[in-house]
Amino acid sequence: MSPGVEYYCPCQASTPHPPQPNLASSSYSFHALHNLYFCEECDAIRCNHCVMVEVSGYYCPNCLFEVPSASVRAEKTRYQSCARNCFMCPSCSNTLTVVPSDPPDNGDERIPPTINAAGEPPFFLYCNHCRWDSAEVGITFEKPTGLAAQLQKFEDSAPESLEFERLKEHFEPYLRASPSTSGNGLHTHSPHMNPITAAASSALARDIPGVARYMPHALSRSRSGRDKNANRQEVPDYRARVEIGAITTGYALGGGAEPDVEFMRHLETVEEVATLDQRWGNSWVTSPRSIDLKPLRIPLHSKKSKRCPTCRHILIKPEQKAQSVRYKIKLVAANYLPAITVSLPHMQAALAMLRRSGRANAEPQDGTMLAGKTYPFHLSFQNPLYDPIQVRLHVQRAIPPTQPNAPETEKARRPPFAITLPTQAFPIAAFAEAWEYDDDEDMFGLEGEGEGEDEDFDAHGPKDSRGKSRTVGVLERRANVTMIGGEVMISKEARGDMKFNMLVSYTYRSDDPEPEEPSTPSRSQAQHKQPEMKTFSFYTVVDLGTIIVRDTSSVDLDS
Amino acid sequence: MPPASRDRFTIHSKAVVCQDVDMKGDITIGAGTIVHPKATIFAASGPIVIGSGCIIEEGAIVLNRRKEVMRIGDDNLFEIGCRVECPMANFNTICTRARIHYTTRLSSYCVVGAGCLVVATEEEILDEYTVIYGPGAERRIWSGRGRLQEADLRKKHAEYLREMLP
Ligand SMILES: [Zn+2]
Ligand SMILES: [Zn+2]
Ligand SMILES: [Zn+2]
Ligand SMILES: [Zn+2]
Ligand SMILES: [Zn+2]
Repeated sequence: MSPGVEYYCPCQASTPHPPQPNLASSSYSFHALHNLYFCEECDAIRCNHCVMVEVSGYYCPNCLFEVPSASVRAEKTRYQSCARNCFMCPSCSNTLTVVPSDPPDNGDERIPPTINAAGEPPFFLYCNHCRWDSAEVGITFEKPTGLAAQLQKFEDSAPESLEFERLKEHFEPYLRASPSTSGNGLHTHSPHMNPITAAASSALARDIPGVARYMPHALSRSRSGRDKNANRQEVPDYRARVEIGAITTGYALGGGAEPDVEFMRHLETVEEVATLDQRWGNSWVTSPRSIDLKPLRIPLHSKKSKRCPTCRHILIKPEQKAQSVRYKIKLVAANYLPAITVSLPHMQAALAMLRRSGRANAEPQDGTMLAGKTYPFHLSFQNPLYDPIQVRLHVQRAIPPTQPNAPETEKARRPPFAITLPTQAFPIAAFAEAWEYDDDEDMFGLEGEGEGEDEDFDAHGPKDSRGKSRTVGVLERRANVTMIGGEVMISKEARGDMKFNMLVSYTYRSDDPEPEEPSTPSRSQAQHKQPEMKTFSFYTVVDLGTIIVRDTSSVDLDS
Repeated sequence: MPPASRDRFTIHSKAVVCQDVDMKGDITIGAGTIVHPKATIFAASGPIVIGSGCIIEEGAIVLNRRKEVMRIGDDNLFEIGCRVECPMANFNTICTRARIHYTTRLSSYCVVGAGCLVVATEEEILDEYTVIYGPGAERRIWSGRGRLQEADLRKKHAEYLREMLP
């Protein structure tokens, strides 16, 4: 894995501190900056695990027709695909077009056939890419419009479809009786607040006497958020109209029985068998033969808005129109938090040297470092705010990975590597549109009024005042980007990934001073006289790459 | 290198060969065939004979590496940037940036999809209505439905170009 920085959303944990990055489960709490939102109301980072998702509209991705939410919901599962003329090629998944038949061939190349402008029936679906057509599987249409409705007649008579209808009828009274939360189209994924999650977990803990019994609860879980223990006995057992075995093993292909074996025995080319990709999207049992593939309906897509789980303010909301790719509201974290990127100068130097020597294919593995050595690394911070900020970094102490079989020696308990970062706060200039820069002076003249704290902060890069080498400290300041240097010292015994958690605190000028909210622990008024300065802190995980043990790497070099 | 064969172009009076077409070797072009600017026709070894009603678009390369005559039939469409090194019969479509190696021959009504690479290790003749498509150059046989409409469209395409091109 290449070096990178991810941001922490505390919603999965009970403490504001992130889990150790070497735990496999920690990756669930860290996200790329572009996947995160920021609630101005709560002053908090929100991720896709904790936001509340609301569907604000359905549309067909092919014809961009907007389908009213009410009709999508009313039809439950059936018409959640485009009900117009949109179909996908079962062979290559391109979209299909409706074409008329050829005029009767007069058999003479010299006399061009007269082609009727309105088109010759019957019409069929045709793939421009692989030239599959629906007449191959016996599907033709009298009119070139309303194909979905014309196909519906075929589909409705399938035994599986009839069975499904009956199943829905069976549960209908039960569903109607339950107070539905799906009515307002609200789905939540948050562990803090969700009765659905609670119901699901208790359902999982329960004994499952049989599939027939399990089904009603499976349905109720997705449809309603109520306590399902209450009405558990009300739903009578469902008796299938057709035994599942009768559909598949009796006469049809695809049931895995005799006809399938027979088909496989007489294969001549692999192409005769439909690939898994081609059969994947089908709801019912499908034939394994590629010549039996039917046109696929195009499922509707939805536009979703996301809300803050705590204050319910909207974090992101797309424009209603299917054609539009813009947003009405967009509170993304990238507009609030500095964007951090990490780079390893020694890696870049090595790559450059390899390229110069013409051995570009002999690139070393990305981000590999040898145990027992010290490497510099660069972190660059980009300020998205229109005001300059002060940033302070703090490394969370790393705990070595505990190996169950390893003896608990003093050595093993030592952290596998040590990180050195500048301890003082450093400034990042304000974001400005390109035309706002008159001359270079402007970019650097912004600091000086904000850093009220006692820090002997040094705006002009690293100095040897504390005897530190030049690799640690502020290395470069350009426009709204500040690059700082850090150093990692890897112990001889170190193994695995070099990841560490880093707390980033930045102080900025607040536009509208609010009363301090005790419920948000990560935020506090800056402790100095000017009340409009605020500090926001967030955790990140910095991944510097994988540690390589020296002797194995020398083997790599020999080979 | 093959011996530098002398250039000899036989172009039908009803064919349209634009300026800035790169031609080398012994080349015959039939009636109504259109060669767009920046196309390359290179009879490196044996001659190239192109039939009538073909459309050869910009950046297409037609190359004969062999001693024998490379015959391209009638009404074939060579789309932008394709590279064809093989003979073929009629009504084939070679899509954008497709490449066909000299070991293959096309019969009629074949389609080589955009970007497909056809390199047969042994001599191979593609059956009529063969369609090659997708990133894996998969193959299937087209039913031929829509063939007459496509042929009609191809003729109109060529007619339009003959009128519009200088
Ligand atoms: Zn949360
Ligand atoms: Zn979250
Ligand atoms: Zn559609
Ligand atoms: Zn297709
Ligand atoms: Zn909020």
